[in-house]
Amino acid sequence: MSRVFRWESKVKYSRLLEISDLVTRFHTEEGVVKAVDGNSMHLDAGETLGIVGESGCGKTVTALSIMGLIENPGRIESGSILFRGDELLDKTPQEMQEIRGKEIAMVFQDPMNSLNPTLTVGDQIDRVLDFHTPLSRTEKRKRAIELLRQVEMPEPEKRLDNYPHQLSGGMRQRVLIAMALSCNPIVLILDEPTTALDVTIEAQIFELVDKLKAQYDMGIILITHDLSVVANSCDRVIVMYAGRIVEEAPVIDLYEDPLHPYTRGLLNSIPQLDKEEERLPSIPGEVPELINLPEGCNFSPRCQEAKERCPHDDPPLVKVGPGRRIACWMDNGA
Amino acid sequence: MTEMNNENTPLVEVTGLKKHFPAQGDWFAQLFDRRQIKAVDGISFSIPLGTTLGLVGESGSGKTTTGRLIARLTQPTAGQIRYRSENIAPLSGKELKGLRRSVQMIFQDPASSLNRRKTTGQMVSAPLRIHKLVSKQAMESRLAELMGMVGLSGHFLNRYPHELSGGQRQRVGIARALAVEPEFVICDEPVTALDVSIQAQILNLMMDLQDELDLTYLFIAHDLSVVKHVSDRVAVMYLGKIVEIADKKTLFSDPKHPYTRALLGAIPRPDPRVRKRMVLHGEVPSPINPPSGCRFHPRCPERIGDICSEQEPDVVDLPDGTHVACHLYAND
Repeated sequence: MSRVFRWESKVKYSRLLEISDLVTRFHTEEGVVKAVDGNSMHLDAGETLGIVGESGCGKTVTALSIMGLIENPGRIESGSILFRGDELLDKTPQEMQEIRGKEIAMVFQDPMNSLNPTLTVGDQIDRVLDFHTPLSRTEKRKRAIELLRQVEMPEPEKRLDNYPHQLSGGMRQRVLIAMALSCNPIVLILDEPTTALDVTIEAQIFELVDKLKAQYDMGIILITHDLSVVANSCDRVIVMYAGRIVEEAPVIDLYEDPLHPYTRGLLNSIPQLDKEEERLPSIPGEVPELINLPEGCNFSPRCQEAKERCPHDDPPLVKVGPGRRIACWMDNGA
Repeated sequence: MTEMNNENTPLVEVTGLKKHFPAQGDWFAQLFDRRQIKAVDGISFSIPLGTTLGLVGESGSGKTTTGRLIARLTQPTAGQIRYRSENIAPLSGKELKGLRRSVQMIFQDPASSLNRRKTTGQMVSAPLRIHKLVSKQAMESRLAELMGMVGLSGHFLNRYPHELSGGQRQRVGIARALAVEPEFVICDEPVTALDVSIQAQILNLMMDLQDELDLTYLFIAHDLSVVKHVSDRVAVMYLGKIVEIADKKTLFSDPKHPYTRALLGAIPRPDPRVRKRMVLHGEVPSPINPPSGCRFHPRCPERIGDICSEQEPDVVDLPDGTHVACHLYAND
């Protein structure tokens, strides 16, 4: 049925994204915001990479940089983003438009604010298909119903004529996922996809995403502040703090043996269902403003294990094992 | 305020509480469309002095409306709310003002519950001025005391909300609520909008304050892990009804109602080796047209038969102290 083609190159790339030394900054009146400060990471087919961090750590800006959606006063200043070997930062805006939504798709954080309130669900899916595919009107409608069925939307034909405000949060999120999947992307970026949703709906959405990942061999980047969601859904995890990657590890290693004091602090401060605690260990202080970063290690003012060196020297991100990187002086900082 | 009858009378006692809102439209439309949103549809519970009752539920459960009803920010459609044995449901005007000295509320979104055009000092001192609790001379030291209690330094008094972080704003909200030295504080999702590391700080603060000031809390949240941490007893709401109430340990180790079990099963554990989440299918139905019989029956994995769709279950008291509304436990 489908005349939607996926561009298959002769060499099947399993490394979908290779990001090197990415620097994205915002030049505001108050100063320069170093949102992404020289970060490198990669994404392979079939895996889910979690990017975890609190407000202002740069995780969303990283995703927007990949999607080519950074606008004034923001700029990607340097670095490289290779998508299946192809440099995205060299692309023209038109070329990026061809890729965005078709090869690399993103589901944004707040479903109500990401959907157009004045268009029906059917019209919105139609627009995506219209831009990227040569399908006819009937074919597009069929494809839209098929997509909604895939995302387990109840009564898909009826939903096409609904407006976003007529749908629940969970249903709106499914529409966004359907739109993101409409052209069979190979990379799917989910930015806090379930933060606004109830936990029972969240469980449904993640079950769905796992199923679709397996079916299409996609690479998924899951951006979230929720460490429990990450534990449940990711293969590898990157922890960011104030614009920098502070730790990267395979998921089991991260939870069994977190190395960075920030990661440990975060994990300890989650109230857990299966633990009895009088007081929740918490990280003192607040996340710094990106305009006004401290000298030396960005985390040192709040770090319980800070040594002499930490407030003066920025620790580099170094490899400490297979799939493990960490930016911390650790015991070498004394 | 009347004294309670005896030592064992709970501070707060709610019976048959209801709040129905007219569905969409202006008064003319409402003449023809008698549909109602039954946000809270007959709930009963009590809160002993000095304890915390956690109230959990998902969207449309009615938990926020319940908080607002008890805080008397809105008037009940039916039912009683006894505070210190006095029914506060019918109160209005001046009588309510008196109540506000004992019953305060902390809101979810620190950004929208603080007045953008007032400084912290102005907001925290407002209740003190309104209730004439502190003289002008003593105001400065009282403010300093309150700020100290919530862990903010004095220079925050001159800041406006947009100059504060989420965690700082929430602390200001707490200082404002505590200014009048209330007995009972209703907290509506107080940490939901905060980053994880700040959540822990605020939860610890709230628990410390409860000890120091002998506070009683109604803690409303959708995050069960958070609720477990702060509560003594927990009530679970679904679509306007309470489906289960039990003391914390019992609820989390031996949940009775299928919805409670589903809720607990759906929560992701921060442990990658425990990946299997229980998935509850179906959408939460609309409170305008709730399902017949037991409201949970369309999604219930443990439905026993026609009785579930035909009859609303009565509340049953179990030997371990749980109150549950489910036909599985009905006395024969």
